[in-house]
Amino acid sequence: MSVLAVGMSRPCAGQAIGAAIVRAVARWVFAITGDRRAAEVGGVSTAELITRFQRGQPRTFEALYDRYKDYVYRVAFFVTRNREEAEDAVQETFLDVLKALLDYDVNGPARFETWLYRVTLNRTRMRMRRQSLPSAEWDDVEEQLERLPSPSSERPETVYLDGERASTLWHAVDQLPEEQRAVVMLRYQQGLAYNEIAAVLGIREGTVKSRLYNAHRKLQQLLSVG
Amino acid sequence: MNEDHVDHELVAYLDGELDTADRARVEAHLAHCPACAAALEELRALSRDLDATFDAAMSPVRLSYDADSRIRSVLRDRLERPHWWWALWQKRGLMAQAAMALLLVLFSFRTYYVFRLPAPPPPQETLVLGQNRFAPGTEAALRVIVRSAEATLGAVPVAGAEVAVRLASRLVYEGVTDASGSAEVAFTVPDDLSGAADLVVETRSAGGEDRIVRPITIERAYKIYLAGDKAAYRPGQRLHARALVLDAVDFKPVTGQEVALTLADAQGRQMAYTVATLSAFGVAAWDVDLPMTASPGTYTLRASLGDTVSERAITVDTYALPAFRVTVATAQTFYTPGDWVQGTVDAAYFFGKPVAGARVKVRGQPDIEVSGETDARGHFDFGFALPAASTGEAMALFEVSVEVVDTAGQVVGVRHPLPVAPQSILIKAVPESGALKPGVENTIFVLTAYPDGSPAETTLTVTIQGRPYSAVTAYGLAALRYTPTAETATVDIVARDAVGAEGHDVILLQTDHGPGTLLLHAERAAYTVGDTLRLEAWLTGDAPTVYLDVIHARQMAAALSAPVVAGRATFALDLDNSLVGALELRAYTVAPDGSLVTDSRLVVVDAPGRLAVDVDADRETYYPGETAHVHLQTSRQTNGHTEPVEAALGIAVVDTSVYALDTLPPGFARAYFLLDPTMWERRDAARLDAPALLEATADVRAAQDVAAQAAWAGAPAVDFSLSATSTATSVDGATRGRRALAGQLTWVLALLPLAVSVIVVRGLAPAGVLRRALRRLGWGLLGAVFLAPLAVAGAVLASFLSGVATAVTVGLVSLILVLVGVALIHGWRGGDVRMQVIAGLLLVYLLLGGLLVLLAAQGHGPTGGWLVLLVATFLWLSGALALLGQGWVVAGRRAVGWVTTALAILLIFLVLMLPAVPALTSDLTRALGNPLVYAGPLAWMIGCTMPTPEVIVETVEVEKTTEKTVEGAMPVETSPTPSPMPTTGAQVTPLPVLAEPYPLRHIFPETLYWAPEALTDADGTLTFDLPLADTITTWRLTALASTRAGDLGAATYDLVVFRDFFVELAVPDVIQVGKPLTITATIYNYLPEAQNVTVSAEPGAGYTVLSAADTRVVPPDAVASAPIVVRPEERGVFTLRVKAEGVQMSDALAVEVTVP
Repeated sequence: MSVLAVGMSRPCAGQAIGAAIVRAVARWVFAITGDRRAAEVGGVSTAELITRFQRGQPRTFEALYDRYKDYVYRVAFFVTRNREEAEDAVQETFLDVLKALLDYDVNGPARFETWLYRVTLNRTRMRMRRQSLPSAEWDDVEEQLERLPSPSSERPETVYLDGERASTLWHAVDQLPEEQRAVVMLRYQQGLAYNEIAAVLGIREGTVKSRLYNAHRKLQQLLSVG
Repeated sequence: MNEDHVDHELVAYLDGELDTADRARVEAHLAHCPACAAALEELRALSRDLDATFDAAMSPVRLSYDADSRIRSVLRDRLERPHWWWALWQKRGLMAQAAMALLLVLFSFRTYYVFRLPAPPPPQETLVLGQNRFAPGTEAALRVIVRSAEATLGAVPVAGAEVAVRLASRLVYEGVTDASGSAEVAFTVPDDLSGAADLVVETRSAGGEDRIVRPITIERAYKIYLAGDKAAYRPGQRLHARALVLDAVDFKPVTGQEVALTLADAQGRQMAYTVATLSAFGVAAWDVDLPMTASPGTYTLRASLGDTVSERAITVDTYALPAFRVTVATAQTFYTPGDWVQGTVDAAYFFGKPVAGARVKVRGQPDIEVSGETDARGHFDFGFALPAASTGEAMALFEVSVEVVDTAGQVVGVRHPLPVAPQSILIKAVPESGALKPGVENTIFVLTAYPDGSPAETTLTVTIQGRPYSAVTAYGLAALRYTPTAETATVDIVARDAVGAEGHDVILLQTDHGPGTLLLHAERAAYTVGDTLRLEAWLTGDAPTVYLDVIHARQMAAALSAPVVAGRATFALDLDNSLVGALELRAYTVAPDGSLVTDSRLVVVDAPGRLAVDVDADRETYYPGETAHVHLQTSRQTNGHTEPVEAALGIAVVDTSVYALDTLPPGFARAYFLLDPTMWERRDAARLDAPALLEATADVRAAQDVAAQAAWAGAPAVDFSLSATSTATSVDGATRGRRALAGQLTWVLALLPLAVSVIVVRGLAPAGVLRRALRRLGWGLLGAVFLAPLAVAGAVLASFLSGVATAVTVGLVSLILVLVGVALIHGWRGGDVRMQVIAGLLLVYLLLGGLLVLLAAQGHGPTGGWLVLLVATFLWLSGALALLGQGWVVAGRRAVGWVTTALAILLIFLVLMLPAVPALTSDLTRALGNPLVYAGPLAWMIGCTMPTPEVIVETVEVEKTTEKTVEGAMPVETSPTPSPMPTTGAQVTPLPVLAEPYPLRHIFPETLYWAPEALTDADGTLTFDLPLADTITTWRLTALASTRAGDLGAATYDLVVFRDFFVELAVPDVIQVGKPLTITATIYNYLPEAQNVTVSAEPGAGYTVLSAADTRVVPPDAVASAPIVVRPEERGVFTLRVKAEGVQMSDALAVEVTVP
């Protein structure tokens, strides 16, 4: 681990060879142990993780979990607006994935993420049948947006966005109908393409297009009113 | 503003999700529509802000540490808890391949084991020998020999072969063959079977299976003893016949059956016929009245039951009864030419008194005549010299005729043959087997006898082929041991008796020629139940086993076998009650070519018990017309114990003047029943006294035993009436193993394609390509329909190029194996479990399929339905592979997909080539390689004619060997001798039957009493009153007794009827109406003193008395005659009454005279 720490703590060293050696060793360690950290360090692809899991290395599933747990949590949290519900959804989602992963075709046409988010959404929606109020963490998000710093020349990428606009926008998004909200979330939070969104939600691509259009119109309306 | 605003497409435009055409259209619109351009900018800003907002809002959102720990532990728990099945499931690909490897290893071992099994033994051959006739309810036997039919190895007995025998589809025997390959099949013939049936013999060994079916007959065999009251009858007399029928096997009476009785005249015309039912003692009786017009001649009385016929000759003649009995005796029983013959003539009346003072004339050819008178004892001595000239070498009979005329002028003539032999001792030599058997020690029986036939006790000096022997005959017989070496043996014998009589003879004995030699030697000819029959078989050659069949009443009763040790095999057979009677013992060896070397012996087995019949009457002598009280006692004697037994008696009381014959010994009927016809006919050959053989005292019996052995030596053997040989195709352990292996392979090869197809479908289904792959496959198959002719042409071409076909096949197999191997490696490297498993299954399928093809080429392949199943599953496999290939093509793995599809097609090409490879030709390859199978659905419809697998039929060649019916199948039991025998009938009459149908005042029957079936009671006693007729004579009572157990006994008893003074009439043969007829009245006076007698005829209807009363003095113990002259006045019958009146006694009698 010390080697890894050294490798990571000197980003500026630029020693490509050393990094490659580190990655190779990590991959080797991963191949033997299935260790999740070695997987990360070695840059093992998701497909390889899945293949190894399917071939009988259960520990690789933990690497997979580490890689996707936050993405899954964000989806769940966004949909449920409730931390505990989202956490439970994450657990159920990964248990589902654990069961289904053996039959997952790595060479299939769909990306793993698409499949994962579909499972996540299914789980989360099942939990959503029990109505639960937004938890404090959800409100924290908006408050956090409000505290965003003002535009500065040092951070040109956030030049347009001040805290007020962000929280207003976030508030508007929160007011969108549920199906538009999901499309927007997948588009902006997860950065999925239209066809991927269609696959996750099980709808046609045209529907994704129109929902997104409607969502933007609605957001513009909400902002102009606000 | 333009009407076609694009604002609803601007979001997609911004996100780059529009295709090129839309994009161009939107951009074109934006260029001249400021409103839309403004909207775009607005949206761009919104989109950017949303990006930023989401990033800012959600980036910090992470799963909390607590939740992460919790979920991680849940997942870990889940990952670790079900470890074993998890691990198994994880490694399912590996396991599938391990299972396939295991399958391969198992089959490798199995194949190694099966192919290491010893080479197939030669096919077996089954020989069945026996008789084709069985009697229900009896113990029967059959000889079944199983041996290998390899001509080059010689026939090797097959031990442990399973043998099953079915009679009329009933299993009667199951067993295995012994070390000699023989099964001594013994079974009880079911009691309820009769008529024609099939005998099925099934054998099974490593060398194959045989099934032999032969028609047989299940029928009882009988022996019929036919007897009458007399041997000669006059026309108009009544004939009494009695048939005693015993079962030929167990000698029990045959009851309830119907016996057909017929009487045929001298010309064979049937005169009378009846059907009589047999009583509980097996007795049927029949009375026939001979018509007055019956022509003289020898008639035949015949009894038949089933196919058993017994006949008896009967003389019908108008004979006159003799007045007295004349007996001639000579000092010697034989003479040589020129000898002085000294003899006596004795004459006695039938009532016992001597014929005194009778004139005797003894004559002989050419000019011998001696005459004289009998003395008071009826005795006359004579002597004469025989002619010196000898007529030749052979023995001749010199006939002496004696005529005796008593004082009453009654004449009786007899002829007495004198044996005259060229030498005083006659010699005969008989090898025990009829002919000499080369190479083994033979027993030659030497018989020495005086010319009269009586045995001569002599000392023998014998030279056989120059080798001297000496022996002493006992009872005229000696046994010499000789081992023949030459074709013939010259036996020079000189026999000398105690008084110096000598005989010399040179006898040439022939040697029997055959492939080998077998001589069966029995110690004796006659045995009793309880004895052990010991037999030795001597043989030349290298036969390992001698078989012995015991044939009893034409049925094989036991089948024995014994190993040959030092050229000798010994047998011991305990004789029990089931073997009573004649036994034919047939020993044989079976040569490798199936021919038999046989020798047989006849022996007789006697029942231990005797049925004794004791007859007693209240007096020794009776007056005419008196009633005699006769008492009969029947008892069974076993080992010195006597116990009374119930019996049926055939009782006849007949005038001894009719019975002018020697008394038959009591054992005659027994001997008749016990001996078989062959033995009975041959009894004269060695002067065998059959009854004596069974009945006489021990030493006589011993003599008769040797005589019997000599008599029965070389009797023709009964043929095997059932004989069959069959050769089976071999089914040995190795073949069975290979067949089993082929069967298992068939199973596996039928299941593997199913497994492949399941994996293929499961693999394709989730990816959503199954439907498209199926559609592509369907199109492909449809296309194949039109290619069908091409496939057929290709196959035809392939069949022409058989040499190339092998090379092509090898190439195809290599190519396929390489492809499968590549797929396997590819699957491993790519971590594609599905591909690994499919490639592994395919590899296993190919290897095991190749093994099955090899097995099939050896003739152990699957047949029938299995063949169809294999072809169908192969098609299924090809289809599954093609489907998989197309599935991969659809899923985008084009190269792999097309290679897999090609693999499926290559497989089909491979099997199409297989039939063209000569080394692999079999039904399997023909069926698999039938092009019609692969020509698609259309060809399937045409090709219902297709794989009609030629089922390999095991051919069982059943060689038709000689199957003879036993000598015409109609055993004719001839009546023993034309002599009167006691007989029986169905009705028991407590009172005597006065049988002669003459309504006379004085009764002169020839048969006084006839009871065909008189029964003794439980104490074995029968007492009856016998009213005696008026004849002055000695009546002979004969009784033949038989019990329900089949024991036989006989007795005779004489009853004398006599008075001191009486008269008898002799009516001449020639009677004419109106002519004087002189009837001689003979007056017998045995009163102490002379008597003045007046003889007179009383007048009566139908005749006129012409002579006056004759008065004369008859001295004591004298016989005188007085003529009575009458004249018959009309045709018909008149009764002549004559009185002889004396002072002390008188007599009167009436006789019927028939005037023709």
